[in-house]
Amino acid sequence: MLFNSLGFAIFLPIVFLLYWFVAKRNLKLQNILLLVSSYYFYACWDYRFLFLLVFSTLLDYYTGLKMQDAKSEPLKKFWFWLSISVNLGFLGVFKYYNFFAESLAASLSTIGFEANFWTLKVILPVGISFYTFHGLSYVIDIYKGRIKPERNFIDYSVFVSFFPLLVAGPIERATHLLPQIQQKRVFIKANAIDGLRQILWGLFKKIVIADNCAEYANMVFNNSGEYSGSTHIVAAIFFAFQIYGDFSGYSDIALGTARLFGIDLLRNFAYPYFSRDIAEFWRRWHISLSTWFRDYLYIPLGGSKGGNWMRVRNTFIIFLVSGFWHGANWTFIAWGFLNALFIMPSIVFGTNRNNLETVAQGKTFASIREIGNILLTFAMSTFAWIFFRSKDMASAFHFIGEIFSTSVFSKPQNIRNEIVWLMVGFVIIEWLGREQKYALERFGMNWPRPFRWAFYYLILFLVFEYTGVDQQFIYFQF
Amino acid sequence: MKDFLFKFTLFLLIPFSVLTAAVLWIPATPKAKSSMLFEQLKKDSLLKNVKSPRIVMIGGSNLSMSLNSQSIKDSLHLNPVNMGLHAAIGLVFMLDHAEPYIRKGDIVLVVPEYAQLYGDFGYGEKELLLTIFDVKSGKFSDLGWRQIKNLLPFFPKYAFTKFKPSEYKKRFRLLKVQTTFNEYGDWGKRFDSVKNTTTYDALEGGLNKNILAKMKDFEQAIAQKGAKMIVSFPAYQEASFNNSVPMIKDIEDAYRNNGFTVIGNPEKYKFKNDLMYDTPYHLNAKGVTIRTKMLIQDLKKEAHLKPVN
Repeated sequence: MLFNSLGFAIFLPIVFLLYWFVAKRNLKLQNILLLVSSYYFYACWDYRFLFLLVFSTLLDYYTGLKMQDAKSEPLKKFWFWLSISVNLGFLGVFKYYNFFAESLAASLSTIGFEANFWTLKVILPVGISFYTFHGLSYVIDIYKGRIKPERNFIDYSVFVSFFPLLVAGPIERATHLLPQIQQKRVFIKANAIDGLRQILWGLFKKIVIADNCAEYANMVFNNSGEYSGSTHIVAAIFFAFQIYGDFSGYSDIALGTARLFGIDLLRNFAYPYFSRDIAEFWRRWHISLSTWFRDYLYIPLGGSKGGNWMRVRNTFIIFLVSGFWHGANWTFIAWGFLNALFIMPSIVFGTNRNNLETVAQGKTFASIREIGNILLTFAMSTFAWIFFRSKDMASAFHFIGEIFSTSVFSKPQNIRNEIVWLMVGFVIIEWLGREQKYALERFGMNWPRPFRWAFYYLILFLVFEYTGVDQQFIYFQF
Repeated sequence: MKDFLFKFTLFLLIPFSVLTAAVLWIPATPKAKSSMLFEQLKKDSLLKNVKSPRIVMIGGSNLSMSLNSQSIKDSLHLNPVNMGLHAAIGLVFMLDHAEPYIRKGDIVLVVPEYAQLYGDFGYGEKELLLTIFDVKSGKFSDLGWRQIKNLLPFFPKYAFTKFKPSEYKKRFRLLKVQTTFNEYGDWGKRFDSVKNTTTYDALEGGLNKNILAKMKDFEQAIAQKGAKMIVSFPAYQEASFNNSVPMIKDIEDAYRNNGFTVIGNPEKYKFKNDLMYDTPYHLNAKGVTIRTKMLIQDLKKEAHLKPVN
């Protein structure tokens, strides 16, 4: 069930009404309703993988309790490693087994050994990387003594499976989400309206921006070689808009939906394309994953305590792992490697925390220098996206090769002007709202209601008018 | 809470009422009237009035844009009725719409675009809405729930067109509705040139067994009337074909497993870019000649059709 589908448009109001009217006074009933509707939501993708989700939930819930009750450190360790290895084992089997088997076979064939490994013909359970990371953070936090295990199984299951975040995040932390699940929720009209506004903006990002950019990007990426160099550049830029619109749009819908139920989820995006350097970009892009890697990988590896060499090593490790988390393909690893490379100067020279505040804070326009830095950062991230989008390394290099051809100076082909204008409008609204949690949060709030509603109707109109070819949310595959 | 629900309902109800009224009461805009979808009425008339013996061809624009019915008539001495218009009308509607007018002795050649059999495309998209509400060929009440479900997302977009100034531009208002299709239902103009043909990505959504079941039902229904259904494959651009080889094989296998009379094979009907016109299903003049020859050959050899005296 996609957020931008008719099914979800029916599902959400039903759950909302049951939640606030039928289960209104009973927290336990509200949580059971959230759990049942989340499982139904997940089963709509593929009911067979629901068992995997339930098993993973049970495992982490049980091992969490066992760690807490363990009489000795070795026993505590045993339960900890059991949970970690089973969680990563599932991820390894479903997501990475074929990659390793095929890569090993390819490596052996280069030295003359013909190996034909058995490969799995299974589809990747949607959201596995997300709910596995949920579970891992919970288990690690208990092991480290940061939190106590949750004894109520329903509450814990809602924490793992809450439908707005189940298939593509944000990757929540027990310290943030569990207390909200345990507490009685009160309906606050302003929050609910804000949630609807965020959903509307998320739909605009996904349907108008991402899906329409996807048509162009797919056309060129899938048939690279048939188009000019300049068209390749435009396609790479369109993909950068696509992936931002797609994933941040999904996150906006998830956050907005959660607010309708009185729950605040972690922010996942903070206008990353207005970043002035790559370090800032990574503080603003997929924040819940970046902070996850920071807390559960970078810091345990020593973080930046061991001097420059340790910082360089650990930075490379987290970017490579982050790339690999996205998918079992060398292209994702290359994407992670490139980002590590781009961030390296700021790590080595200690300038990675230079741009902590929002660009041109309190001003309408940025300075020329800031604009230059923003464009340079955007160009670097777009270049790295080419690897992310390409189906294999050869295609990525071929795509880059096509850019650097003589036709780079020709007029880009097949561009729909209205899409470009929509992108320009989108950038302007995002820029104006860059100090808010999402661009529409305060936009037009001082206007009289008829004007404000007219503006929302305009966005709705654009959502329906520019509904392109339905594209799956990119991050569902991870 | 009540205030929230009231305002939210009001927020949605205002545009919903306006758009519903627009769909029901505002006639087709001048731009919509200039659409080739209005040719459906002429095709309906052909289907009702062309005399037997005849060959009725059902499919999307792969038939209207990429076939020469005159050659079929000359070779097989059957009166052609080319119902092909637009793939997005959906195969389900095409079959339902044609069935009442199929007669004893008719040869019904069904040539669906591959996308008709994959995912939900075969239930129709925006073009089906236009066919029903603007062209007024077919009734909304005759649609199945799967078709309606497929059409729902297109309703707002369709309704908005009634309010778009660009739909009422002078050039559309002055445009005389000229028939662009010949007396058999083929697109009247052949193109010698090769336009920049886009390439379609791999088919998505999985083989739709309900659409295949619909074809089976149609076959049985017309068999009871004494007509015969033959299934063939559309002319398809080679690059698009190569993106969907396993899916197209699935479709071919499904046709054969359902016991349809199948002529030709998908591989045979793939065409290089120099024979294409604008989309992966539209051929230029040279391509049309080649495809028509191949189809006639298949009809004679594999469906054992002989020229009717």
